[in-house]
Amino acid sequence: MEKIIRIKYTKEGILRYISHLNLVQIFNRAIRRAGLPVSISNGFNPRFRISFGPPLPLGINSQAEYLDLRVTEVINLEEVKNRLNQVLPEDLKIIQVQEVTSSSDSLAKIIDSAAYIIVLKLEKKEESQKRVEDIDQLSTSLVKDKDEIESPGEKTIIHYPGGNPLESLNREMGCFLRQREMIIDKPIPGGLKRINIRPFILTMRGISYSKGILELELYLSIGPRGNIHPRYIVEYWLNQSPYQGEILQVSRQELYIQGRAVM
Amino acid sequence: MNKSWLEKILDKVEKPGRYIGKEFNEIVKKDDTSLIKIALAFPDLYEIGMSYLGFKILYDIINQKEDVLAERVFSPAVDLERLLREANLPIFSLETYRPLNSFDIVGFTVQHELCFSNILNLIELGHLPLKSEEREERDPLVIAGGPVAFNPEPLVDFIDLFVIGEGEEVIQEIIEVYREWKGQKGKRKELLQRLAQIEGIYVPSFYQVEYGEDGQIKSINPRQKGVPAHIKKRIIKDFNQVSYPVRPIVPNLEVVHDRITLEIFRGCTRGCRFCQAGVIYRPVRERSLSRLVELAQETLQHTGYEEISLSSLSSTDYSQIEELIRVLVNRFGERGVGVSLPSLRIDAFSVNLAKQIQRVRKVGLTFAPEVGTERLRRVINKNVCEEDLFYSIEAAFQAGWRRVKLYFMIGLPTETEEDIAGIVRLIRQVKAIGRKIAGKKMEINVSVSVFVPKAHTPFQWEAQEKMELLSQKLSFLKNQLKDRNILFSYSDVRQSFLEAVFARGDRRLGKVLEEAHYLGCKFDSWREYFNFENWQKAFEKSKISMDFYATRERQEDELLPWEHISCGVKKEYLQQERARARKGEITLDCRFSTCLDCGVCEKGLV
Repeated sequence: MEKIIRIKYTKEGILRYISHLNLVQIFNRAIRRAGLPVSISNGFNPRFRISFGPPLPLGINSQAEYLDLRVTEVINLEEVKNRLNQVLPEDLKIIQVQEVTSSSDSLAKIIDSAAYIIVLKLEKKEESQKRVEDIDQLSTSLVKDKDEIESPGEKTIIHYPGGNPLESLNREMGCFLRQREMIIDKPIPGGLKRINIRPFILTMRGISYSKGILELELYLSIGPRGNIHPRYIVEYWLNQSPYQGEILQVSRQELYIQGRAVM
Repeated sequence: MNKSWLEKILDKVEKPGRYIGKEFNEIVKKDDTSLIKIALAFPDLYEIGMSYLGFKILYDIINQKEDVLAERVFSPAVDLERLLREANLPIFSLETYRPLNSFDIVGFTVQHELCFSNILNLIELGHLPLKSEEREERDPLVIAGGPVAFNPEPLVDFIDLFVIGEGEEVIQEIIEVYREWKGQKGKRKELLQRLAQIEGIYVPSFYQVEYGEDGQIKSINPRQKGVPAHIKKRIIKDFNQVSYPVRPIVPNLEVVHDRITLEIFRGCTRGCRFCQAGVIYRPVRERSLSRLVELAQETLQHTGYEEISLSSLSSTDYSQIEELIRVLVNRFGERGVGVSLPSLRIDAFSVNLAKQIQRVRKVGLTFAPEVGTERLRRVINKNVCEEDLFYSIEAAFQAGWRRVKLYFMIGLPTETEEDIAGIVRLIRQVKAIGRKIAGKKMEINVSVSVFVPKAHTPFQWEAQEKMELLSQKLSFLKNQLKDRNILFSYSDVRQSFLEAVFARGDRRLGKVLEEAHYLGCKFDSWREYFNFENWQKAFEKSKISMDFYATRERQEDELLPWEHISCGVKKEYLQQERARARKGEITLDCRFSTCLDCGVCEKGLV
């Protein structure tokens, strides 16, 4: 009786520069090394029956990636985890293994949203100094947080005469999100493709800000109807905002099926 | 290499996975100043370099030694090269991002002549002095090996020493001498002198070449005492005992040959007269069946690969090939592991083997009839007949294959229009057979390459055909083979011409290489980067004729640039084979016929 084992793994470190397609091959070989009783497909080029969640864009870390394995015999779940971890490249790590009832839909189909954390270094745009002041005036009613604002010698810090910078940033993002269309020209093989990225954004907010470093949390819709790299959203926002920023790190935190974490 | 800088540039380059390492079975040793550090440099992209068994063998052997480390360095693609140059940063190893110039030894694997410009580029990107004579005491020792070392002369300005022949043993001897020398804090020159004593080591700066007024070589002599007049190639005597990498690195991205390369034997005595590998890798040495099965088992366990390629120069010639395939398929097939053969001999036996193989995985079938007529096939000593080919093709289609690959070569000595027409006729017949059995859904891949005369072959004295004529022949073939069932691919005659120049080049070509490098020549084996105009400029600037090297027939008494490099096969044998070629006489394989006294066995190896 074949069973389905769902695996949660992390992909971090320098291995984030390995594409999804290559990752499929890496897992195929790791499973062979681990000697797991994974079912093999028929056909000219037999393959293990593995089904992956939505692809992780190149260069992004992830705390929560998923795959399903169809196994031919009962096997201890802890053992699956240990045996795979022994034979995976060091930046890939299995963190949780669970048996699931065999469903007909693949992970790539049912996973519908993803949470990302983006770490940004923010600086005021030189030419738009004036606009910043305008926005800052909006926050005059907010309580002034001295520690946050006046660390001397930090050039990158955005100076908010009138309030808590995080709240101010979030207020601004709220305005940003009121737009119904955000059109970008996304580079695709052989040219550019004009798309509206707004429908992908579920929520967007800053969760911490300190000394010019902003941590942004982004929930995006994801799935077979299309995906968007979080970078495009952040870049679009920066473009409209009075800041210029450098993305220091992007990581996928979790994947969801109808609002609940996959595992 | 600063890691955060590295990560920054990785966002900006195509396929960053090429530069990061971290594959399964990669060996990363802790930094320690007492370690001897060897960079295994491959002058092409990761995807190419990671496909070569020789490279993996050396990595494995060196890293087995506790006090030595081997790390990999590949040519960066043009995008990374630009970023490195802009930031004035050196190319680095995949294991620890160590700059190339901080290794003790840099060892190049040189597979063919069209990567010469990449060697120069990689040396420069590694922030090493480009030329051997400019290197100082603290600079790494730059060494090179591979088939090209059998005529290393065009590279002598840039490489401190060459390894002639098989590297498994000699690399260890080099390390021993290096270790001793390092302990004594000796001079660079002393190191070279000591290394030159090792059999198979060629230190070109210890030799002097003189030229006559006709431009030909007058003499090649040692400059100093104690170095051999002839450098003999190294051969592994016991092919069962020699180390084989059962834990090869499993690449994280797709590479050209992404499978287990199980080398079943080394050498080939079929005696195709154009083939350099068939001479320089003699004699034939097989691995025993039991050893092969053991190696396959272990390598599968340590890699998780799904395919074992039975590799050699002519794998169906392995004495127990049927049994080997049967055992491998029976033992590993159930878990989806397939066995493949790089190319098939043209006969019924081979097609039957292929049938056994495809029980697990569908593999392509490749045949090499090489030429279009029986006459020319006798000239090149390819001992197969058309009936065999047609029979094999028929058997293949009947067994369910829908795609076959055929290799041909043009520009061979004595070739006429009739021979070229013969290629068309042959392919059309193959197509007719395919259509009869398979209907419309079938494909014939035809690949046509240009003959390049190579050193140490019976054709080493021959002229390469002029480019104009070769182009005419290719366009004739292209026109004649326009067909929806035929996929036609062919080599660029200008690339083959350049290859011919360097394949039989001498030391004077060093300055051309340098000029070409400064003109930006690189990745010459890649059609999209090959820039023939720049090469022509480089030759003009150096006042050197390309035709002198490529399209000039040599007299048999002319001193050849590789005269001092001995591959064990006697010159008289090559001359004799050339004469037989002219007469259209077949020479049989000495494994199945009488000894031809080629000379390689005289070294007491067999």
